[in-house]
Amino acid sequence: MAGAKRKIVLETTYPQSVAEVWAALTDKRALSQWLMETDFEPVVGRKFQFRAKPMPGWRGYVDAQVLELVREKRVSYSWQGMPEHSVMTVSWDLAPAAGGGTRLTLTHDGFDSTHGFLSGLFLRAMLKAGWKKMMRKLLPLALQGGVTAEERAAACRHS
Amino acid sequence: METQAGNVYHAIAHPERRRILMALLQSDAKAMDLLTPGVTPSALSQHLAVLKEAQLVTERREGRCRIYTLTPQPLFEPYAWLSQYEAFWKAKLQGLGDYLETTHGRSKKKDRS
Repeated sequence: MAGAKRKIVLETTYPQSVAEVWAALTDKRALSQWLMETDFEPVVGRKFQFRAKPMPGWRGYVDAQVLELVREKRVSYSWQGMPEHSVMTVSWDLAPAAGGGTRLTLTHDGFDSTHGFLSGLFLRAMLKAGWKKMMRKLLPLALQGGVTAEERAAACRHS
Repeated sequence: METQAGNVYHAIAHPERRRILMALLQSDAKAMDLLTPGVTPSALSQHLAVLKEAQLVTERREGRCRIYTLTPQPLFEPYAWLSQYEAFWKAKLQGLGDYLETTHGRSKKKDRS
């Protein structure tokens, strides 16, 4: 289904070594600086949280559990942002890059088929109705942390 | 999330209701056009009621017919969620780059000062 994404995969290369990037991904003080405040411990099965400021549509913390640890290669954990959303998986894969750097791949998986269906249906309906303008209005609002019913209605009216 | 979004997840949890939504995506339809073998008129009625409650479908009358239309606005928040996560991770990956540069410098030559 066009636009129905089931997972996010992002790849980046950093000039720092695999050991240095691994440390940034598995040390809670490092994680707390660049990702979110956390009590993460690199122990398979350990439950932990990521915490930030609550905002419209989000309670302010993520429940997580370490699933996999392969030193300097892979760390993955379960991720649940809201109780009504499916439990997802976040994985980090590390590989040496040319020149001594690190290629890092983030995979955020588990947007379930329900979510995929919703997204796909929404996209197709929007494209069909020519509501691209409406989407352009609503997306920035959503990224700020929520769209009120009034904003949604107004965007639909003026599209 | 607003209750409305919760209704949306419940509304599309049923495969029959997903089928109805896909049919209405193609075009507005009368109730009887939405019937398929294995779905009783009463079951269809119930499904349409759930979809109406979630505001995914509106109903209008033309003469004696009831016509159903897909109104996808309630799907926007779940869709935005996915986009939100992607924007979130892109920003965090940049933040990681900044953190690594601040902590370790850009070169792999170790300059212990």
